[in-house]
Amino acid sequence: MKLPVQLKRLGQWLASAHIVFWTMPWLMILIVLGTVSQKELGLYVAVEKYLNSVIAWLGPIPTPGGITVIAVIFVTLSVKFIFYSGWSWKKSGIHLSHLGVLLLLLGGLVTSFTTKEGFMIIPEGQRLNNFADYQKRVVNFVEDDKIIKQIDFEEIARQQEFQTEGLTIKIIDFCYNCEAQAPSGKYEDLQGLAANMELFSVPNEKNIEANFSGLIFEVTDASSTELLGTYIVMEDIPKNPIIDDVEIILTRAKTPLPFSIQLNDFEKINYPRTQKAKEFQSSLTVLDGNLSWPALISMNKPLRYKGYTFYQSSFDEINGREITVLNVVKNQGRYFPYISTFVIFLGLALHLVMRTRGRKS
Amino acid sequence: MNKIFLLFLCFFLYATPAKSAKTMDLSAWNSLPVLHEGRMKPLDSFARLYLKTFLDKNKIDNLNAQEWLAETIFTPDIAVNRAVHFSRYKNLKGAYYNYQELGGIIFEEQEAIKKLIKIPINQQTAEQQELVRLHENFILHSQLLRSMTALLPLDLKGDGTIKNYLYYLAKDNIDAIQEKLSIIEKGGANNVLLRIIPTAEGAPPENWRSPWEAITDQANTPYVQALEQIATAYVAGNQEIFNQKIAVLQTLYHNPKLKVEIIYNKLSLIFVSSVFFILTLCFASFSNFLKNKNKKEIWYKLSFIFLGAGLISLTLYICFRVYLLDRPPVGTLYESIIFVALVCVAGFWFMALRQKEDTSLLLGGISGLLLLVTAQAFVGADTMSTLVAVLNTNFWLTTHVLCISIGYGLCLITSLMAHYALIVRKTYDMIRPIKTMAILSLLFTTIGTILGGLWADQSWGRFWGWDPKENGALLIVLWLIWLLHSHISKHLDRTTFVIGAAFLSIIVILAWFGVNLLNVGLHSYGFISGVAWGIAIFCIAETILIALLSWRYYRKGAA
Repeated sequence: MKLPVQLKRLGQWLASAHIVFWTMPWLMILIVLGTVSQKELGLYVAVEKYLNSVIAWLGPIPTPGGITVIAVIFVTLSVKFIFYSGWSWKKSGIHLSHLGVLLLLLGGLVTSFTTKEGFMIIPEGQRLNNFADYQKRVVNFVEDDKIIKQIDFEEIARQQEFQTEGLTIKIIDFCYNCEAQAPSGKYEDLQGLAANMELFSVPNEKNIEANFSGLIFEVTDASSTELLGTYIVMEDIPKNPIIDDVEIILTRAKTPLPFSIQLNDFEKINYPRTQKAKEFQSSLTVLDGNLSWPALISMNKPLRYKGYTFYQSSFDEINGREITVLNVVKNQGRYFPYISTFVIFLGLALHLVMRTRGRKS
Repeated sequence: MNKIFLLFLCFFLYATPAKSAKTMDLSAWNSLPVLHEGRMKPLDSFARLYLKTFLDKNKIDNLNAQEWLAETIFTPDIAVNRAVHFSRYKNLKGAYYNYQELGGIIFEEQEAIKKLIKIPINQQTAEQQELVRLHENFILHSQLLRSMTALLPLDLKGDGTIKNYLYYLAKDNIDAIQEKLSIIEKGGANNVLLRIIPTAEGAPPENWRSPWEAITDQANTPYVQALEQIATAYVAGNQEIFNQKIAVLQTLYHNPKLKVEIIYNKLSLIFVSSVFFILTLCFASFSNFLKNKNKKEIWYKLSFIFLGAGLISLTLYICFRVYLLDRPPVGTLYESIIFVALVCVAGFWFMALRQKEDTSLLLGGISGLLLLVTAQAFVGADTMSTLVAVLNTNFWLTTHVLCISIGYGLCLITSLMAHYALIVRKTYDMIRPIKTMAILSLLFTTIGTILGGLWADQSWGRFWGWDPKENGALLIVLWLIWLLHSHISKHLDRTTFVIGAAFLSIIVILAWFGVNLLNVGLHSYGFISGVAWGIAIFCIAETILIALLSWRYYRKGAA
C-alpha cells in the first residue's frame, strides 16, 4: 500500500523543526502573559485565561491558547519521533530526549484527565472520610440527616426555576463570592437568615478557594402555588433554611474516600526560641475496615494510600483546638515526570557525549 | 512614647567605665555562643550582623563591630551617643543618627508608623519602607542597649561622696529611684535578643536565655552571676576578671562550629575572591594585548593562577557555609548568586585549562566579579539564617536547587561566550563551543525544572502549577529549545543563533530575579524589593549592547 503523496508531505511538514520555530515563541509569550497577569488576576484566573485554555483572548482577538500550542507540539513531536526519526546511533541522544519530552507531555495529559484534587479540614480528635473540592459547590436537600437531592451550584445558578419535593424553587439571585449586608427591602416575605441580611456579589478572590457563594430564592408550594417565602442560603453557614423538614445546604462538593482519617495531634515545631516554623506535622490514624494504623504527615513527607496522597497544606486553631488542613490528590499520571526526567537526562547527556566524541574523531 | 525619653535618661544611671571599649581585649568574649534566629552562633557574628543591619558597615568611628557591641551592651550610657544609624529618610544626602536622634524621628512619625505596619511591604513606597526599617532598627537597638541592664552596676552614689549618697537615700528621692528602676525593668521585659545564658551545662539551644529572661525566671544560676561579673569587670576595665569569668561561660557549650565561624568571619573570602578576579582581569587583558609570545605566556599563566585562586577561595567560602549551616549551599537568593558565580568561574577556568586561551580567563574574571558585586546588593538579607519549613529539606535543596543554579550559571557562560564571539566577530570559530554549552545548559535547566516539579509533587501534590518561578525556569528551557531547533531548521543562521544565545542573559536574569518582583505564588519567599530598577536597567543595557554588537557585526562582516 502506498501512502498518498499529500499525506506524506503533511507528515514531513509536521515533523520538521519549522513548527518549533513558530510555536515556541508563542508559547513563551503566553507564559509571560500568564505569569505577569497573575499579579492582577491571581494564579487561577491567569492560568485559565492564557495557559489552561484552547483559545486565549487578547482583548477581542482570539489567539491559540496554551492547550492548543502544547497539543500542536505534542502532535508534531509524535509524528517526528515515530515516522521521521532517522534512527541511528549518532542521534540516539536526541531520540531519547524527544521520547522523554513526549512522556512528560503524555503525563500532563493523563494528569489533566484523571486528577482529583481537594482538601480536608480535620480538627484534633475527629475523623473524616471525604474531601472537599476547591471550587465546585453543590446544593444539598437534606431530610432526616440524609441527602435526598443534590444539585450543582453552577447548574442551579443557570436554571431559573425547578421543582423538588412538592416545592417550586425560583432562583432570584446568586453570587460566587458574596458579601452579606443589611436587607435593602427589595424582596418580600423574607424568611430565616434573609430577614436580617441580603447577599451582594463582590469580585472573586484571587485565591479562588476563598470565595464564599450564596443563593437568594423564592419558594412556592407546587400544588397550591402559595408563596412560602424568600430565603437565602450561604456556604458553610450553620443556619440554613428548613422548609417542610427539608434543610437546604450550600456546601463544597465532597468526594468520599474508601477509608477514614483521624487527626490525633497537630504540631508546629519552631526553630529554638523563635516563631519561625521548622516543621508542621499531623499525627493521624488511618482507618480502613477493621484495620487501623498510625501515620505521620509533615512538610515534604506526604501520606500515600490507595492511590490518594495527603499533603500538609495548612493549619488553624479555633477555640484552642488545633485543626489541620490536608491537600488530597489522586493522580494517575504522577509517575510520568519521574520517568521522563530520567529519560531526558540520559538523552541529553548521551547527545553531549556523542557530540564531544564526534569532534575528537 | 514619652516613656522613650525617660528610658534615655535611665541609661545615665549607670556607672561610667574606667576604660573604653578600644582598650579591652575582647577575643575571648567574641567566641561566646549566643542563640540567635534559631541557631547557635558566636558573639562575633552577632555583632557583625547588627552593625551591618544598622549602618551597613563593618566599623563605626574607630571601633570594630565587636567593640561596638560590647560598648552597646555594657555601657549603654555612652553607646546612646554613637551615631550608628544611617538613613536617607526625608534627607536625600543621608545622615548619621545616634539612638536618641533616631528615637526623635520615630517619635515624630509614630502615627505614620502605626498605619504603615498594617500595609504589606510590597505596597509601600521606598520612603515608607525606609521608615519601617528605621522603626525596626530602633526597636532592635533599644533591645541591644537594654539587654544587660539588669546586671550592670548602678552608679547611685553620684560623685561618690557621703553627701550625695544621703541625698539619694532621702525619702523624696527613694520614690524617684524606684520609678527609675521600674522603668528599667519595663524596658527589660520581653527583651530576648541576647540569649547568652544556658539553664544548665550542655543545655540544648532552646534552653538558652537572655539576661532579663534569666532574672525574670529567678534563675540566679552561677552563669548569671558570671555574666554579672563580666559586666562589672568590663565597666571597671579589669581584663583579668573579665577573661576569667568568660572562661566559666565558655565551658558550658562545646561546638567546633563556633571557632570555625569566627575564622569564616575573619577571612572575608568574598572580598579575597573579588581581589583575585580583579587581578585576573588585569593580567588577562594585558596578555590579550601583548603580541610577543613569551611575554604573553607569563601574563597568561599568572592570570590563570589568579582565577584558580579566586575559584578556590569562593569554593572555601561555600564549604564553610555548608559546614556551619548544615545544609546545601543554596537556600536564599544571595547564596544562589554566590553559587552561580562559582559555576561561571569554574566553567571558564576549565575552558582555559583545556584551550589555553586568555579569553576564557577574561570572561571568568568578568563573570565572577560582576556576580559578586551583584551579590552585595543582597548581602543585607544574608543573616545565615534558618530556612522556612518547606525549604528545610536537604534532598531537594541539593538536587533541584543546585541543578537549576548550575543551569543558570551555564546559561550565563553561554551568553558571555556569545557576547565575546560578537565582539571579536568570530561566530564561525565559536559556534560549536557555544552550541555545546547551550546543550549543556539545556540539560541542567531542564532537569532542574522537572526536579522542581517533582519536589512540588512531593510536598504540595501537584507537578506543575504555573507558578511564576516555575514559568521563569520553563522560559529558559523553551528559549534554548527554540534556539537549537531553529538553527537546525535554518530559520536562524550562525550569526542569529549567536545573537539569540547572547540574549540568554536577559532571560536568565528575568527568570532568576524578575519573577520574585511579582511577589505571587508559592515561591515568593525569595521576595526582593528595590531591585526592579536594577533589572530594568540591565535588560535595556543588554538589549542595546547586543543590538550594537550585531549591527557592527553585520556592517563589518566576520573577522
